[in-house]
This record gives sequence, structure tokens and C-alpha cells, in this order.
Amino acid sequence: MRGFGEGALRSLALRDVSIDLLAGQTTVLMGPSGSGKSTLLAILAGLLRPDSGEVEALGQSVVHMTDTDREVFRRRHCGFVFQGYNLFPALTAQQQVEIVLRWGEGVGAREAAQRAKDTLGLLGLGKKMHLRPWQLSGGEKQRVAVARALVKKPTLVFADEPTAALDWEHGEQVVELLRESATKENATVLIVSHDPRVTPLADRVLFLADGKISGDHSIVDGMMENLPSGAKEAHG
Amino acid sequence: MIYAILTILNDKKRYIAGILAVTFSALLIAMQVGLLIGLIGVVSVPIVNSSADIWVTFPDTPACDLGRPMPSYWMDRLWANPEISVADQYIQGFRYWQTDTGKNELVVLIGVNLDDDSLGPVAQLSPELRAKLTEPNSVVLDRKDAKRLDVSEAGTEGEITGQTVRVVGFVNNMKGITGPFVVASLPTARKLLMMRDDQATFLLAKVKDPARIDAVVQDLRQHDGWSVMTSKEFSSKSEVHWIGKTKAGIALGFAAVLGLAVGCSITSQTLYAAIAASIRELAVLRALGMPRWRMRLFVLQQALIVGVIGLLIAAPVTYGLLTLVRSLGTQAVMPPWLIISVSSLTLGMALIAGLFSLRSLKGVEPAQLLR
Ligand SMILES: Nc1ncnc2c1ncn2[C@@H]1O[C@H](COP(=O)(O)OP(=O)(O)OP(=O)(O)O)[C@@H](O)[C@H]1O
Ligand SMILES: [Mg+2]
Repeated sequence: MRGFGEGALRSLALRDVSIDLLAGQTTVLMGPSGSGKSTLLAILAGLLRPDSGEVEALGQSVVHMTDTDREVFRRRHCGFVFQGYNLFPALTAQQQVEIVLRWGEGVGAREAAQRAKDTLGLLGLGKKMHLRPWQLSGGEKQRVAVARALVKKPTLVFADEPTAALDWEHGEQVVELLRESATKENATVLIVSHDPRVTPLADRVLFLADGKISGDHSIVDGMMENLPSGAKEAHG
Repeated sequence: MIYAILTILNDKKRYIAGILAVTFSALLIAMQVGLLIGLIGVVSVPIVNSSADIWVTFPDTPACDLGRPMPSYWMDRLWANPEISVADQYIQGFRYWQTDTGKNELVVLIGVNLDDDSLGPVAQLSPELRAKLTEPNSVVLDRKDAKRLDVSEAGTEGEITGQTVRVVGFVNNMKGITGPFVVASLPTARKLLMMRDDQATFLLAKVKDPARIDAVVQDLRQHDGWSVMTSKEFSSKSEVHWIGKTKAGIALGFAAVLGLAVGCSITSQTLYAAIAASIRELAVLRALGMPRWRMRLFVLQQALIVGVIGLLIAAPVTYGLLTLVRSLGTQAVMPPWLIISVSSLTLGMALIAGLFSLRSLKGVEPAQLLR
């Protein structure tokens, strides 16, 4: 359960949500604007505390951790892609990715550069590593943001509207890249989107309406069916 | 550090205000202190111009222009020290100079030994001038100061303590601050200052081995009735006394604090705005679990770089201004200790500005910014 505001103005963004997310799967969370998708993602990822309820991930209770522990948890396990590119204007593509390793894990300059180059290379940005955001197209920028999320090989990958600013061709590319980290690295991938074209790329689609789960479908050969399962939980 | 440097280089326009604020503070403080010390330094001109290693004064004389008469026969004590090669005496005191145009100006009358082995401030006196000074009641003035006494050429007369004095020539670089220096022979100075023949204001000594000066000073301090200092000690004592006396130190401190405060607030505003501009990028890093101290370090690194660039700009500007001021005839100094302290002061200011701007990081909340 998560609400915002005080007293009579208080509104509940989420209520009685209970979901399990499975490692190696890509789950897409859909729903109308204001239905609480971003709020749910923030709670699952340990960015926001629910008012009540429990989030368990990798055997740990994310809700009951101290702020520092949650920070460490996110550093070790979580990758994020958000709607905007959110890239530092001053840094090259390589540095945007590198900084995560250097600041987060204290990795040395050389090793960080190498790992950043490898990740960017895998995402098809091998030739753009030394360009700054203003020299990159929208799709390329979002791929740099994906590289930044994936460079530390996270076990939990969260993406909030990663395709919203892109045309479908590039959006599809980005979703494919996130999906690959589920299939290749056995990560748990959660993508928030309101674009129905994303669903065939997922393993599972959840629908959220007015703070509640209104549908849960698994995708087989690009078609929806009904089925749930579990490695990560949220009740509230 | 590289990320902070790139960030500043990439957006110079944004950071320029902060950089110039640092430049301004550094320049303001350096020039003020430099000018003040230069100005105050004039009080120790007689000490600097003399070749004595040691100055002996009436007990606890605070400054070179505040000496009081002491027995000149105590020179025997100096001569008695085997490490001293020359002992000498020197007279200085305030008197009014009356011009025949009716002006009444305070002057610093100094009496020096005119022999070849004189330790007094006579470096500028040519043998010719010294010869002329041996005549009773003849004096020499600084060329620039002479105008203050309505004296334009040698031979002009004035009046001190009811006695007529005659200007026999001019020297350079002896411009006074409290009043013009008037150089005379020891007998003339005694007469005009109404001192007895066995009195002098200061006793001077030169030490055979310059490395032994401090030791000789220690030796001489064992005698009662006088204070003994190296010439360096006495000149800085005189300057410090006048900085305190004139309250110039307070005015200066106030201006410096003001300069630092203004510089600090501009710099912190600049940094604040710069961090606020990349708050979403920082929020992504925060979501990815980057610790807060890393972001704080990032801000403080920017503060440091802004400080360093500001100082790098301040250096040539200060040098240029210093040259200009000197060419206009004003004494201004820029000793290494001043450069070092101004640099550390302004760098400290930039870092404090950085600390103030840390509050911009409070807004780095991924759940709020990235929904
Ligand atoms: N900090 C907050 N203060 C007050 N209300 C909030 C806050 N954050 C979210 N809400 C409310 O919670 C509800 C869910 O917001 P959320 O951002 O999760 O929606 P969403 O499903 O992501 O919508 P969209 O598709 O437009 O991004 C909305 O009604 C929103 O107004
Ligand atoms: Mg949203």
C-alpha cells in the first residue's frame, strides 16, 4: 500500500498489489496514466518505501533495510533505465557508463574503461564511444542509458517508459537489449510501458488500473495467456 | 576529478561567475594587503636604507619613528664586543618645518654620521652631499617630498625650532609617510632636536660574521637599559606597530572578510545552479546505488577547480595591477607569504562555497525526479 499526501487530500497510489517476478523473464507493466506504475516500480526497486506491505528480493526484505543497506542493495543488484536519457552533457558515451563502475564499485580507470567499452560494443555503440550526448541520436542516447544500467550486470533490471521518447524501431531495439539481459544473464527484468507494441516482446504482461493489478498474462509466441510465478514479491 | 573538470570545461559560461568571484576576492585581498604593507613599509625606510645589522633602542621602542634619547656613550659596550666590526649612532625625531611662505609641516629629522664607515641611512648621499652636510644647519630632502615644503632648488631656506636651515641637495627614494625626511649631520640634528651631545636615538652595529648576528644580539641583551634587535626584527616591529596603530589592520580585515563573503556567496550560487542542472543525471546514479559522498566529492571537486582557475586568472591580473600601481609611484609589495596566504584563503573560500552548495544534492531523489 502506498499513498501520497495528508488527511483529506490523501490518495492511495497503490493498494493490495501482490506480484511475483521471475528471474530470466521480462515482465511488462502496463496501465493508464496515473495508475501507479512508476510508484510500483520505485517500491519494487527500493527507491521508495511502501506505507505498508513487503518487498522481498533475492531473499532479502527491501522494505526493512536501512537507507544505506538499500543503497548497497541497489548498487550490487539493480539497473535502471528511465524515460529521459538523463546523460551528463559533459561526458562521452564511454564516461557515462564508466562512472557507474568508478563511483559505485571503486573500479580502477583502466578496468572501468574496458568494461564500459565492452558493454557499449555489445549494444552496437562501438564507434560512438567518444561522442557526447549532443552528438548522438535519441536512439543512441537511450542505448547509452541502457549500457549504463547493464554495465554492472545487474540481477534486477528496471525500466520506466524506456521507449517513450523513441520511434518504434529504436524503442523495439531498446526493449530487445533489456530482454537479452534476462535471457543471457538470467536477470529479472521489469519494463513499465503503455505502448502495446512492447507486449509481444515480453514473457509476461501485468495490467495496473487505479492502483490495483487488473490482469496478469504470460506471453507465448507473442500471444497472451493467463499464468503467474515467483522470485520477487510485493504485497501491499 | 576528470568528470568534474570535464563538467566545468563543457559549460564554461555557467561557471564563469563563480570563477570570476574567486578572482575578484583574491585580487582584492592581495592588492589591499600589498598596498598597505607597501605604504606602512615607509616607516622602516631608515632601517632598510642603513647598513647596520643590529639596532639598539631606548627600552621597548615600538617603532623606528618613536625612538627616545639614550646615552650615546653606550657605543663603548658595542665596541667592547669582539664580534662587532663597526658601531655607530643615529638620531631621529619629529619637528615642525616652517616655510617662508607660511606653511608649518611636520618633518622627520634624521641625523647621521657622515664618515665613510657610517652605518646610518646614507647610501644615497654622494660624497659631495656629505661634504655639504658637514656645514652647520644644512639639510638634504627627498626630491618628491621637497615640494611639500615649497622647496624647489638647492639653497632654499626653512626654519626648524626657530633656527634657519638650508637645503643643500636632494636624494631619491626617501619619501616619508608621516612627514618628509630631513637628513642632517649628527651635530645639526642634535641642535635642532635639542638633544645633549652625549645622546642619540639609536645605536647601530655591524657584525663581522653575518651568521653570528642573532648570537651577538643575545649577548648584547644582557646589558640593562636598552633593547637590542636585528634590523629585520626592528623593521617588522615598526610596521606591525603602525598597522595596529592606524587601525588599518581592522579596515583591511573588514574589507577582506567582505570580499570573501561576496566571493563565497557568488561561487556557491554558481555551483548550486550547476548541480541543479544535472540533478536528473545524478538521480539516475543515485538509483544505481552510487553513494552520496561520491556526489558530494563531485561538488567539492568542482569548487576546488573553480577556485584554482579563479586564482590562475587572478595571478596575471594582480601582477599587471601591481606594475601599474608602482609605475604611478605608490609603494606596493607582493611577498611570497602574501601570495601563499591569499591563495589558500581564496581556495578555502571556494571549498566553503562548495560545502554550502551541497544542499543542492538534497533534491537528488530518483523516486521524485524520474517517474
Ligand atoms: N509524490 C507524490 N505526491 C502526491 N501524489 C503522487 C506522488 N507521486 C505519485 N503520486 C500520485 O500517485 C499516482 C500514481 O503515480 P505514478 O507516477 O505511479 O503513475 P504512472 O502509472 O506511472 O503514470 P504515468 O503513466 O503517467 O507515468 C498518481 O495519481 C500520482 O498523482
Ligand atoms: Mg510513470
